Amino acid sequence: MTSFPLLSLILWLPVVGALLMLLPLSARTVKVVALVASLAVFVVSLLLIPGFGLFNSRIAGLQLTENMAWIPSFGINYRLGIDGISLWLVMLTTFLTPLTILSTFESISTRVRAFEAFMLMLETGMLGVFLAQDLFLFYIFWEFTLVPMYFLIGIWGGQRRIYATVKFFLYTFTGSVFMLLAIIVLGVVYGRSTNGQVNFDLQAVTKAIQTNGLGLSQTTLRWLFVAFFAAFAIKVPMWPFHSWLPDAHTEAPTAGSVILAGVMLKLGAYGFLRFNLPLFPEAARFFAPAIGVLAVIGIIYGALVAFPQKDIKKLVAYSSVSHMGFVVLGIFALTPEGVHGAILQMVNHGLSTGALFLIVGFIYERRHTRDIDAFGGLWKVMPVYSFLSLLIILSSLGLPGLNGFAGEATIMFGTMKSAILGWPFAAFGLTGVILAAVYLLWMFRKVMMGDVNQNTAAMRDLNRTELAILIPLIVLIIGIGLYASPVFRTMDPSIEALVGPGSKLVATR
Amino acid sequence: MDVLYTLLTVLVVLPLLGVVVNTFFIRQGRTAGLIASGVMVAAFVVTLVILVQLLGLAPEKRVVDFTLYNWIEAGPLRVPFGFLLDPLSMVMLLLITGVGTLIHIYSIGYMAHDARPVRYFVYLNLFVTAMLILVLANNYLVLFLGWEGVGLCSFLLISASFERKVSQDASLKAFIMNRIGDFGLMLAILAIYKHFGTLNFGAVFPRAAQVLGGQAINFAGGPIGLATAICFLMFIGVAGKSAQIPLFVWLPDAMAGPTPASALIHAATMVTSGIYLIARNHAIFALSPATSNFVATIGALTAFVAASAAIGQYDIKKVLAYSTVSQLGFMVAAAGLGAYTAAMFHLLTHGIFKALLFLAAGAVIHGAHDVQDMRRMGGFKRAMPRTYWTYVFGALALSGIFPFAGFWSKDDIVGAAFHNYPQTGSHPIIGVILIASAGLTAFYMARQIALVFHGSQRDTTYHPHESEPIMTLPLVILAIGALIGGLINLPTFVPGVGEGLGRFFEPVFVGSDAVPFSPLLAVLTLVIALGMGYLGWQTYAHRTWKAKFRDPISRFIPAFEAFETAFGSDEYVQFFIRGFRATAGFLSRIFDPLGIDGLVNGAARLVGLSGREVGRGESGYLRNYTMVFLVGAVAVIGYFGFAALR
Repeated sequence: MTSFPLLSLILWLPVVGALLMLLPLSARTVKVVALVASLAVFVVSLLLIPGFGLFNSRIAGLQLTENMAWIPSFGINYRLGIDGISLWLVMLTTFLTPLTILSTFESISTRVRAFEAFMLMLETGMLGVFLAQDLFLFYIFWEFTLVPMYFLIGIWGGQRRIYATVKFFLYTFTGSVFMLLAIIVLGVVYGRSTNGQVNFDLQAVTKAIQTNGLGLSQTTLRWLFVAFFAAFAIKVPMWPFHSWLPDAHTEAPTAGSVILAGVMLKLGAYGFLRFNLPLFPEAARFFAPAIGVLAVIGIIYGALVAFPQKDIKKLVAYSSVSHMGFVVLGIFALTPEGVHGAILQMVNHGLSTGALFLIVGFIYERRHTRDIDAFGGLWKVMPVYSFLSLLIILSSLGLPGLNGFAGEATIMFGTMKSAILGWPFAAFGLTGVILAAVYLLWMFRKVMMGDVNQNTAAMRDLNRTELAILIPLIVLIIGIGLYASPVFRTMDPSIEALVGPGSKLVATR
Repeated sequence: MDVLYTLLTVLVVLPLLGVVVNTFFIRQGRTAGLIASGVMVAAFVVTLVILVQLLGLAPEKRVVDFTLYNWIEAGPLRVPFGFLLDPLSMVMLLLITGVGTLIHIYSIGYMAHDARPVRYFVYLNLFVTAMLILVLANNYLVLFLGWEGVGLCSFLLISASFERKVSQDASLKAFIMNRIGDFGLMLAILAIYKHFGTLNFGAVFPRAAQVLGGQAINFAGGPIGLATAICFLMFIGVAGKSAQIPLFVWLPDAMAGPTPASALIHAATMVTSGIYLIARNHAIFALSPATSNFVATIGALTAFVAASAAIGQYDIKKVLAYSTVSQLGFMVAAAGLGAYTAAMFHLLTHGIFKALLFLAAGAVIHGAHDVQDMRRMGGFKRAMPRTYWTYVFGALALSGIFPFAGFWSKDDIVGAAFHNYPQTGSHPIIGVILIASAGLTAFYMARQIALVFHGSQRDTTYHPHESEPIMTLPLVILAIGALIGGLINLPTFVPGVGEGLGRFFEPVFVGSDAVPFSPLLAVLTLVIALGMGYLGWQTYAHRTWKAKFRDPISRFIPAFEAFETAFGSDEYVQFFIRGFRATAGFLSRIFDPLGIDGLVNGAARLVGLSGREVGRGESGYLRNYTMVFLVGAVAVIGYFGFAALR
C-alpha cells in the first residue's frame, strides 16, 4: 500500500462527522454539520468516477486496495478494495446519505444529535460492507449496520416501533449467524490448506476455492453456500423471508426508510455477487433454478400484496419485495446481461424507492397520516409534487426512458438468455411489470387524482428544501434512463470475469 | 445522408422542445397552444424536406439507418439509440406531423375554456415525440420506448380531467390493458435477442428466415414453431395497442379524454402502431403462416364485432370509438393476410378521415355545450353548416363511398381477402365478414348523421352554434384529404398514377404485394355500402322523437342490448378485476400476516421471545440480543474446538 488511502478516507469520514456531534451545538447547527460531513464524503467519492483516472474501468479485479494487519493472531486484516461491482453501490450510498440528512431538517426535531450521529455511523457501516475485502472485516461491518438502524427505528419510529425494530434486528441477525459460521469455516480451512494459520483474506480464499475447492466436498460447499445465502436472502429480503420489511418500513422515520430501502437491502444482493457466486460456482449453478423460483414468486407476490395496502408506506415496502426479486433473478441468471441489469437495478431501486419513501414522507409531514384514502386531488393543489411523484412512480414501474427500465429490461434479457433459467422465468417475471403498473398507478389515482377533500384542500406544494432533495434524484432517474451505457461500461470487466465466458461459473457448465 | 441524420434528429427534438418550454416557462393556455402548434408546423415542414430528400435517392437506397448514441451497453447487449428512415416510416412521419399539426391548431380553439390547457399541450407534444420515436426506431428497444411512451401520453390525456371518476377509471384501464399487450411484445423482443444476439432491425430481418426457420420450442408439452411463438407474442402487443379482441375494451372508455386527443391518439396515430409493428416485422410474420391466418381472423372478427357495437351507441364519440376499433380490425386483417400496402393505405386514409370525424364531433360537442348524447341533438345542420359538410365528407369516406378515400383503401383490403396467396391461400370467409362490417359501417354513419344533423333538435335546453375558424379550418383541410386521399394508391388500371404507395413501398416489402383490382368486388361492396347507408338514413332521418328515446331497431333486433354493451365485453374485464382483487386481498390480509409472518413470530416464540417480552422495550431487547449473541458465540467456539480436536 503505497498510494493515498482514498477508500479509508471515504469510509471513515462519516465517523469523523459523527464525532463532531459530540460537540455542544444547537439542533440546527448539528443538522448543517451532518449535511456538510455527508456532502464531503460524496464529493470525495466522486473521485472514484472513472474519468478522474483513479478508478480504471478496464480492470476486472480489485483496485485502490489497502491492507493492514489488524488481529494477526486470528488472520484478520484490514483489507479494502473496490471493483466494478461495488463502485456504483458505494456511489449510491454516498449520494443518498446527504439527501436523506437534508430530509431530516424538517422531519426530525427530537434528539437531533443522536439521530444525525446514527445516520453517519450507518453510512460508514454500509460503505464498509461494500469495501471490505476481508471476510471477518466484512462480517463486522455487516453486523455493525444493524445497530444504528436499530436505534433509528426504535427511538424515532412510529407506534409499534419497538416490535418492528426488534423483529428487524433479530431476524437479520439470525441469518447472519449462519454466515459467521461459514466465514469461520472458510478462514480455518483455508489457513490449514496453506500454512496452518487462519486467514480471512477474501481474494486469497476465492482464488484457492476456485482452483481446488479447498479440498472440501461438493456437499460441504453447498452447505456453505446455503449459510451465506441465509444471511443475504433475509437482508434482500427474498420471499418468504420478507415479513420484517413491511413492519420496519412502516415504523421507521422517513430517513430510516430511505436508507433501509435505498442501500441496506442492496447489502444482501451485493453479498450474493461478492460471496455466493465467486466462492461457490458449482453450488450457485445448482441452486440457481430454485432461487429463481423464489425470486419470481417474490416479484409477483410482492406486487399482489402491495396493491390492497391502505398505508402508502406499506405499499411501497411490498413493492420493494417485488423489485428486489428482479435483482435476484438477474444475479442468478448467471449471465453478463443479468448481472449488469441486477447491479444497475440495485442503484435504480435505491433512487426510485428512496424517492418514493421521500414523497410519502412529505405528505405525511403535512397531514400526519399515510392512509391512502385520506388523500385525493393533490394533482390540483400540489402540481409540482404530483408531477415529480408521477415521474418517480413511472421510473419504479419501469417506463422506458427512465432508469427502472434500463435495469429491468437488461435483467430480463439476461434471464431469457440464461441456459439455467430461460423463458419461463422471463415470462413470469415480466408479469411483475404489469402488476407494478397496477399497484403504483392505483396509488397515484387514489392520492393525486380525484377532487380535493377537506383534508387535502389546503395542502401546500413542495418547499425549496424538498425540491432540493428530489431534483438530484430526478436528474439521475432521467439521466440513467436515457443513457445507461456509461454506468454499465464501468462494470463490464468485473462482470465479465465473474460470469463471462471462461469464468468459473460458466466453464464447467 | 448527413443532412437526413440532422433533419431526423431535429424532427424528434422539435416537439420535445415544445414540451420543455411549455412545462417550465408558459402558464397561459393560448400561448402554450401557439407554441405547441408552432413546433408542429416546423416539424411538418421538416418532414416535407425529409420526404424530398428521400425521394431524391434511388428507390433501393431509400434506407437511412444511423445511431445517435449507445443507449444501453451491458456486456454483450448493445442497444443503440438509433433511427431508421425508409418509405414505411416516411409515410408514418407524414401522417403524424401532418394530421398532428392540424389537431394541435384545432386544439387552441377547443381547449380555450379548459381548466388546464398548458398541461394538455405538453402531453400532446410529448405524445408526438414518442410517436415519432416509435416509427423511427432502428431497433426493438427504441421502438418499445416509443410504444410505451405513447401509452403514457394516452394515459395522461385520458385523465386530463382527473376529477371525474370516469376519466380515472378509463386512464388506468387504458394503461394496464396496454401493459398486458406490452408484456407480449417485450417477451417477443427478449426471444429475438436470445436467438439473434441483437435487436437492430437491419441485422434481424435479413437473417430471420435463416435463424428462425424450422426452429421449434417446447411449450405445454408440444413443439411450437419459434417464428410462430414470436409472432404470436408480438400480436398480443398489437391487440393491446391497436384495440383488437380481446383487449379492445379500453378504447371506447378512452373517449373520456378531450376529443382532439382522441382524434390524434385514439384514431389517427397511436392505435395504428400495431399495424405498423406487423408491417415492420413482415419478414418474421412471413415465416409463420399459422399466425398470419390467426391475425387475419382476429382482425376480421374485431371489425365485425365493433361495427355492430357502434350501431348500439348513443354517445357521439362512442360510435366513432367503436368505429375505430372496427377499422383497425380491417387493417389488422389486411396485415395478417400479407397485404401490407393495403393495410398501410387504409391506415393513412383512415388517419385522415377518422381524425376529421373526431374533430368534427368535437366541434359538435363544443357547439352543443358539452352534450354528447345524440338523442339530445338533432337538426344541427342549420346551426353548424361547415361542421355538417365536413362530417358528411368524413362519413362518406369511412363508409367507403366512391370516390372518397375510404372506398379505395377498404376495397384493397377486401380484395386481398379473396386473393389467392401462395402460402396461405384465399380467405373468402374473412372477405365476407369484412364486407358485412363495411355494410354496418355505412349504416351506423348514416344513423349518426341523421341523429345529429337532421330532423329537429330534441333537447332544446341549449343553443348549438358553429365553432370558430381556428377549429373549422382544420376540418376543411381534412375533408379535402378525405375526398382525394385515395389518389396516393389508385389501382393500376389508372395509367401513370396507379399504385403510387405500393411502388413507394416496394423496397421495404421486397417487391409488390399489390392485389389485382377486381371491379366486380368494388361494385359489390359499394352497392352494399350504399344500400346499408340508405337503410340507416331511412330509419333515422325522418322521425321525431323525444330526448330520451329508445333506438327503433331495438324492436326488431333482440340483440340490440348486446350491441350497446359491445356484447358485454366489459364483463370479462370485471371478472378478471374481481379475481385479482380477491387474490391480492387474500394474500395481504390473511396469507401474509397470518401465514408467513405467523410462522416467523411463531418461531420467535418457540425460542422464548414472547411478543409481550419484546414489547417491553429496550431492556427486553438487551436480554434477547445478549442471548442470541451468546448462541452465536457458543456455536463459533464450539466449531473452533471441534476443528482443533480433529
